[in-house]
Amino acid sequence: MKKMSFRKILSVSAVAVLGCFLSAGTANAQELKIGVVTTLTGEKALTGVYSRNGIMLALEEINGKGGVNGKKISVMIEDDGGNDAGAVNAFNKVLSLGADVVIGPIYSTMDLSMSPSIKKAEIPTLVIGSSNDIAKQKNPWMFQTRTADAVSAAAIANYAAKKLGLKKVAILHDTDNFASGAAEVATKTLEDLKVPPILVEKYNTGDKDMTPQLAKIRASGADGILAWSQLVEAGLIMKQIQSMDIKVPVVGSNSYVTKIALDLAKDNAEGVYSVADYVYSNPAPWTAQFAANYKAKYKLESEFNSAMNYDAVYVIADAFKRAGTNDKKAMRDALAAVKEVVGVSTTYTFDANNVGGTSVAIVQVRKGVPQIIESVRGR
Amino acid sequence: MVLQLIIASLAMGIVYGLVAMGFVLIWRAVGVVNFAQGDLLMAGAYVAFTLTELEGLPMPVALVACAAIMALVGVVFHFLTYWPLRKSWDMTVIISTIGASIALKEIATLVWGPAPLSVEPIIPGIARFASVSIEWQFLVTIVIAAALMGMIFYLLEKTYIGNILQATAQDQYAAELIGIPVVVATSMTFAISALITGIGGMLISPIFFVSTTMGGSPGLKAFAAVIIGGFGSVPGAIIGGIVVGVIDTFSGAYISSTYRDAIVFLCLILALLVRPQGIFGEKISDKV
Amino acid sequence: MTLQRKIFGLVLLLLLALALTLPFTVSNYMLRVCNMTMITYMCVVSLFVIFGMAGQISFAQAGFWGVGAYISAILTVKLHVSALVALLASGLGTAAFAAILGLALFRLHGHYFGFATIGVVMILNGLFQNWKPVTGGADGIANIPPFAIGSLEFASETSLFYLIAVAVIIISIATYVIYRSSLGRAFMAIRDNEIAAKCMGVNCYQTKVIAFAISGLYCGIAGSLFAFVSSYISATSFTFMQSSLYLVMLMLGGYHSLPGPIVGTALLMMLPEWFRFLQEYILLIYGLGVMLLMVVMPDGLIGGGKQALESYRNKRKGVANVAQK
Repeated sequence: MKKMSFRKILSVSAVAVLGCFLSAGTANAQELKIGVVTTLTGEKALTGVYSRNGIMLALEEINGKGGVNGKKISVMIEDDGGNDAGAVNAFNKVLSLGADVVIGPIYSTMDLSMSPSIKKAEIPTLVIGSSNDIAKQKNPWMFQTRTADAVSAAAIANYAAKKLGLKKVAILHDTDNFASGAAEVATKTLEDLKVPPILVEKYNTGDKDMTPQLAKIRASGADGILAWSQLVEAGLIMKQIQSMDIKVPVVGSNSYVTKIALDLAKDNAEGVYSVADYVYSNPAPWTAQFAANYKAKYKLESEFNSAMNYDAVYVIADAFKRAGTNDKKAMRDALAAVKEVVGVSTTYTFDANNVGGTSVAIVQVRKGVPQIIESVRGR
Repeated sequence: MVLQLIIASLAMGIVYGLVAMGFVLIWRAVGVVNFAQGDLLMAGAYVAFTLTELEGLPMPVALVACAAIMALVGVVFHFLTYWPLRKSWDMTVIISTIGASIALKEIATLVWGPAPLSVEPIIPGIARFASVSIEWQFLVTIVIAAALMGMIFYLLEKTYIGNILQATAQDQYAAELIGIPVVVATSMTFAISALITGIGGMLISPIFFVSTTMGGSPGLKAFAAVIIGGFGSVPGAIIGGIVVGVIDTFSGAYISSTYRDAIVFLCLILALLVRPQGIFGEKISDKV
Repeated sequence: MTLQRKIFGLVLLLLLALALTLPFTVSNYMLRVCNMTMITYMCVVSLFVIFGMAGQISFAQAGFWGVGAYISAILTVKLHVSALVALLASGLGTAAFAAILGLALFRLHGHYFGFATIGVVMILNGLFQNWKPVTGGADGIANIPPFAIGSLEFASETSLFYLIAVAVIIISIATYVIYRSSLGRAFMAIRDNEIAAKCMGVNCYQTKVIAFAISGLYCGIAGSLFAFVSSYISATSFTFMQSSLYLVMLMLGGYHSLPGPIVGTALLMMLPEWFRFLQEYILLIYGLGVMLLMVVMPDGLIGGGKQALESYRNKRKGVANVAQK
């Protein structure tokens, strides 16, 4: 019996000995170190590549111009493996490497799982997830950079009901955190506008065959479909809507107008509306320049993951410029004071709940290219 | 609506059936559940993408080439996961296939990139009849998969090669005694298994696109099909696949679209409890 | 031999001291990894009980882990129950759940039981993800309060380390006691030959249910601790893949003896952290490494190590058959 507990201790100690080899990195007061937690392996690896590209591009530009106040910015990128526990590990890893500021992953559940550690470590962290739950955490150190679902989902519902004049809307959404949260907001908005959705259909991430859901939507006589999806499913849904001869307007989340989804759906994407944080075909000069630079550097079109991470670096740079130091408390206060910083996806002003993104754009796919119809300012 | 659902579920079911056949062949031959079977489906889809979209081969040529390449993949898979472990406990092979499943996904990500890809259908366009409106590829899938199943069935049951494979499956030692080269027989089994699964991947790639994670769900549902049909039975796998396809699609439409997977697996458990040997029973008894 | 023992004891004492001072020597990040490793270890030990000892392969462990986590989360967040009660409820609740499931599923034999547990983990994951009123659906459950006994709060990574270490030691000792008890021998009799076990008067059905319940108990405690450590849980953690990884850890470490789970878990949890610099290649190497290790050491690291040691001893002493178990 005694022997056994010793054995356990032995193993833990072995871990300890090996752990000792990993010591914390040294801090350099001269520069700002950004720790990045993103998904490079596993099922969600797609978004991480875009995120990393966007961050590296911003970094190159800023440091190419001599940095901020003459000080360079550096990044360290750690993989979260696409799951909650991995996100916390990666977050702690960048902390141990001496990060001054952290950029978190786009998946809201991972951001939420990091939240307690962020609070404990007292390190300013910009997260890209869009769930409304992030602001509800009231975590003074966590900044939600992206425009929250409360804004974008309400914009989708408003546009569908008011501008497109839809009366019998069907909602189709993923059951993940982002999409179900958005669908709830949209349902509420539609109910307030006295045109409640006639059907709400869901699917699980990774489901491929939407025939059952779409057959029900077709049978319900809906005059429009509002949809929230991740990239692959967005492409699938646009294609399957067309192949099932459902001829009604579709208003989708940002995924619907990414180059990836458009390439998958091809002609089937024609006429689809979307409420987007970012589209690669935005003609605004600052955005167009980013899209061109990105394409030149990485040989592929940019999308919202890359744009929002790119913006996050610029938001940090703006705060760093005003703070003048990499002190965490000073950086936090400078981030909280970020006001009207124009990024490539939206304009950033952090409110009392640390929500940054202020606007979304209404977009329609015309001749295969997403065109901006109008910009909706959420607050 | 019902007819539409029937055709969609048949197409899905027959693909599950192909993957399920892949499971069964390996199970019968070496008594191991291959946890990377779904990833072989994914591999087939990527091979199809490379052949048709990158190399621009005409469809019939691509189909044959894809079959040949996947057979080769099966042989390599056999020599990496099964052959070095043939003398040890079957659990070690299962663990090895879990490792292979992780590795295959990552290889696909590194070679083809993490972005999903699209493949041109064999017959483009949409078929419309009665109240049905469905992609032609669904119908093409049903026809080609059924033909392939027929061929494999014939190969296994009616030919000399089939006899060799079955003899090896029943008793490797005895097969060796009567002069059957066991390594050829088992690697051929893996080749056929990878081939039919890979063709399944090729057939659904125009419908559901190609991505590194595309094998996960069909792999697990095909596994459910194998159990419902009866472990070790080839016709059982086909019937099981179609049953799972029908349950999947119709429960999505009439019960709950979010609990679709849960319902399929609930049916798996119920099927096991009611009739553990499956619809068609097991040809070879439980290997110990 | 006595000298050897003394040296062995000395080394153990040294290592014990090292382990206890661990929180003072490593970074917060590494401590968190250690905490997660210990939690995972409990799940792997649960698999050791049901699979390593009783020979019944189960993929339900990650699902049980989730059941434990959700019980604690719901009790503390929604019903404001104290953390200690929640921990006990998680353990016992999950054990009861496993027992009921076992009563139904152990009508199946051999592989078929394993197949059914794949269904169990898939269904549980579907419920975690979609049963919104209870599990919070895709949003999960946030703001789980830190573990506390009375006014003593375990909020820091260091205090959690000691808390989990205590649980790990209790579970390890309990498992060892079971391993040496008549119950453990009944488990192993079933594993080695069910019919023979039956002939010797073992009630196989009942014994298997007990083994399954014990494994549920361990997973429930691990799940509860996971909920308190992370203070946020969502369905994405409790997957079929996670269950397969437990199996891989057990098989790589060695399923014959208790050190197996320790070595397997430590290895597979730590290596990806040490090799973080490989970034997107890490999973590929992980997968290939698992395949390679199985070929080189089909009995796991402990089994393989023992064999190597034995053959070395045999060579040195020229004595055949130094069976040691």
